[in-house]
Amino acid sequence: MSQQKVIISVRNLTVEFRVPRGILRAVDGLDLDVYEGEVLGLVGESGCGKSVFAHALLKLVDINGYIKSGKVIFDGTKDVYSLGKKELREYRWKDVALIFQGAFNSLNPVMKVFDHMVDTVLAHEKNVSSEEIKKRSIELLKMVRLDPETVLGRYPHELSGGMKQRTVSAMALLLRPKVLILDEPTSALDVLTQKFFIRILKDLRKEFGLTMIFITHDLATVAEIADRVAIMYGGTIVEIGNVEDIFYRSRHPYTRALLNAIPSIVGDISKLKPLPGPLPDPVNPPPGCGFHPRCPYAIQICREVRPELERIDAVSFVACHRWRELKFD
Amino acid sequence: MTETPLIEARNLSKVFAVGGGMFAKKRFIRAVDDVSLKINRGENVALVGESGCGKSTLGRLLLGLLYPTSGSVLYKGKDIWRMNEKEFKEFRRKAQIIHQDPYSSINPVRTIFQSLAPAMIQHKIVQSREEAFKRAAELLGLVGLNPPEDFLSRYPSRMSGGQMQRIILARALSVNPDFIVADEAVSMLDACLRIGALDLMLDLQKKFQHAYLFITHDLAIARYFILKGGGRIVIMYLGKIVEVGDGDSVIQKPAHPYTQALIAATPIPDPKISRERELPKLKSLDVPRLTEAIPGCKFNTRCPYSEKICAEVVPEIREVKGRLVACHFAENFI
Repeated sequence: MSQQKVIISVRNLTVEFRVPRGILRAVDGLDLDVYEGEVLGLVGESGCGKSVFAHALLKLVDINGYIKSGKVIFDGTKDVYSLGKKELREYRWKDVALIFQGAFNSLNPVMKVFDHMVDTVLAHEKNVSSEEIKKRSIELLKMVRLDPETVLGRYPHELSGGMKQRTVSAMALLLRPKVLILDEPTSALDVLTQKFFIRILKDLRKEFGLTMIFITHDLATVAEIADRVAIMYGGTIVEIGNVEDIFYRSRHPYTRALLNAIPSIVGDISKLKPLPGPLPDPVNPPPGCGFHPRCPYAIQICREVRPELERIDAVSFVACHRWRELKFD
Repeated sequence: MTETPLIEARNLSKVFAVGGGMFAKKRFIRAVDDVSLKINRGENVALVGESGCGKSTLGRLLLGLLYPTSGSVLYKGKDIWRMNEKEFKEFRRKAQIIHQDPYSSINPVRTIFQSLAPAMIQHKIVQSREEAFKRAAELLGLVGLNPPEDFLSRYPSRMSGGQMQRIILARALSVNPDFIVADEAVSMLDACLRIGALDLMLDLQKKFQHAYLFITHDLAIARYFILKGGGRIVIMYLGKIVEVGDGDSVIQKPAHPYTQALIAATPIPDPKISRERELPKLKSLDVPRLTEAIPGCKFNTRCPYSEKICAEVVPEIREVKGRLVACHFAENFI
């Protein structure tokens, strides 16, 4: 974390969808730098645009959507949105791999795990022998603490949810990507399985020096795995900082509200407060700061002018007009 | 403790047969295995366990939605499967359920009013359509959907998940129940909306005095519910109740090794605390297959403390220092 080399740089990214009601802006002028080797937790409520953003990093957008503006630069030089078909294919999975939400339920039910591995490799690399693929698969399955001999010969339905999730993770790493994006990887898993899966991710990161973007609505999981946390609201990032800054010294009222709304198995429950009001309508977003209709600290300027993401220190940013003056607790 | 419980499970078991096609051998799952549990009037019980532990099956057995393989369910001291038709119908009215997915438990082509009215008319809570409308509007006001008249004419597709959850709660309350099973009732909601929904459930309980069986996989949610509303937490593993304690005592000082593992695995939204915690001690990572018959204590295959007796003798649930625990060595942990 000391060299702070930027591996993915996102500038002014806007993604829109055509829906019957009009234009839905899912990602709205988003800026973000992801540092090499870090685990970045991306947190937000459902509908805040976090999954759309993750897909847009790979230039994957649904048929009714489009990338309206912005840039994604990989490793300082690769401009993702101007890559040719072949280069884009290489970028996906070899540079950046995505485990999308529910990926472990989209394994082909009539293919054995090993065939999935072969398919994955051959789709991206030619002239790789079956032995080579097997060797890589075995190594990775061991890393995710599965018994390769049994798992490789099995069909997906013969594996439990946790085993499938680990299998998919191993698959994602087959082509040695530098960045792994995980979209809600733990939300469908049981608590115990979740805990071990997170431990496995930590091991993988150490072993391969992976950069991870961990997308979730669950702050508790992020507290455990992330180095830095980005809080997303209404299609944009409202605060980024080191995990401890976000949890102990957050500056954005939305981050505070989120932290005050999640129950835990420790601590005083009387301090918890439900978050009021619904998310903004992405088709008709409110003017000014997207959070102002729910924000207890909103003043006139918040209703009119959209706050910029301001730099606080080397790694912390916040988008709030009043962050300097607000004192919480 | 002379009070007749509102609802009681006595040595309740439910076995499901799976497979048994042309080629597959029939297998059996003991979803609920010899469970006894009492819930008093107006009491809260949070039932916590991982998926497949039988917590939903137990909830459905207590509602009379499933017929038990053995054992009995008593409502105010009466076996529900020996009631006459009239009594059973009355029981059905008094015992309601809130499902996890509000969208799939309400007909999408009916307006909210059309979904709320039939139950009230069927159970003769109201005498006319006008009265049903008035009462439905009243209920929506109580669950915080304002103005109620506006919501009554809407279709489910035009409502958010949080709003739908309130509709379901209003529908359950519309027939004046005294027992509500809330099966993962807030799991579909965003994390930051959950405690708001729990607060609402408990506020309404103060008004209507019903009992809750609150089923969840999330210990933190169970803790919030029980600390705020009072009651007990019950931990279930593979069809068995393994531990029961007042308030959040099972979380503060877990007696059963399974409860200990569950707590150690539950993430804590505090980076300093969560990074210092150790991994739960378990012999095996994966949950045994449900069709597998495990002799003795069901947890013995994963339990780090298991000894010979654990694989042979089923531990009875017994009282250990004010806690109910099903472990041969509970004294060592409490």
